[in-house]
Amino acid sequence: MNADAKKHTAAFGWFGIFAVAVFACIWLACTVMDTSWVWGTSTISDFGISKTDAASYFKYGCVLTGALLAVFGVGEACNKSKFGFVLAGVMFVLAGICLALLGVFTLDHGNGNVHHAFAYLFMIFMLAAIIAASANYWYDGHEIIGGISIALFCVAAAAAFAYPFAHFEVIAAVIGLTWTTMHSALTVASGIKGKDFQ
Amino acid sequence: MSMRINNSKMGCGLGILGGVICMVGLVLFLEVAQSAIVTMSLYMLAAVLFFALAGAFSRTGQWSWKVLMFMAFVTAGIVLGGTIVGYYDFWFGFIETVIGILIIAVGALGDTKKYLTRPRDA
Repeated sequence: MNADAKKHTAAFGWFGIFAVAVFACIWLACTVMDTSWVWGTSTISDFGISKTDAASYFKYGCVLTGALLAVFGVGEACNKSKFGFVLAGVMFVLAGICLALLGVFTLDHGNGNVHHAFAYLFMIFMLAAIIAASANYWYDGHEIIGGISIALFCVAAAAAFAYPFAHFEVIAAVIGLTWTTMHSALTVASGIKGKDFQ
Repeated sequence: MSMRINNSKMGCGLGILGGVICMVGLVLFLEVAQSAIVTMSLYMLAAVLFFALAGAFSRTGQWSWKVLMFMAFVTAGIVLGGTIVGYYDFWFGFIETVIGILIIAVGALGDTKKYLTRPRDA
């Protein structure tokens, strides 16, 4: 891996961190604006049909976060050399596109089926990205990083069994944001001499 | 006695301790009801996983080092997840999660890895 590619990958890593930061800020802002939204009872998608400004925040937030995530994925796919990371990059691009479309097609579009379809696709692509990158970390000898993904997956699976969908969704979203932050931070760190997460 | 053997024994001891605490937890929080089957099963699952981890900290153990690390993360994840969603009592889950993380830490030590991956005596 040449020095320029390492620098490019590290630079693209910031897009992942920005994507998480923007989504977290938008989520908090929506929660403040729409006081009827209840943690564990309402889904994140409910912000899209809110009667308050939270609806606009959700729509623009999803499009912006999706775009940032897609750019991060392009950086991963183009600059990394290992198969798992390249595959994760492609999955991030697809997940970003689905997230942006979630903001365009909200629950009140038609009967809501389009929104649900993109929501499920987003989850599938994110899960695929997490599995691909984690497997690559594991086989590259970074067992702790790969292992954290395994532990987070177990937590999400426990939540899926124990809670209704709305409660599971927010836990899965927090886990997804945490993992994306970790992966992006490691991508940024790959620009540091001696660190190889490429 | 070398340091490597001590690390491995520490991992084995932590696994046994985790398993014993699970059995104590099973007795303390025992509920004889059909609705409690899942909860009781999870206590037993955690006990089995911890005892299995204890057995793997041996050069003649059942798993390679990579599988040991994988199972250590699965165990810690199950205990953490079960605690977060309320299947396990909070303090029980907290103690078991700490033990699980300690097992991961001991397993990740370079000396433990070298000891467990050294060619086995036939």
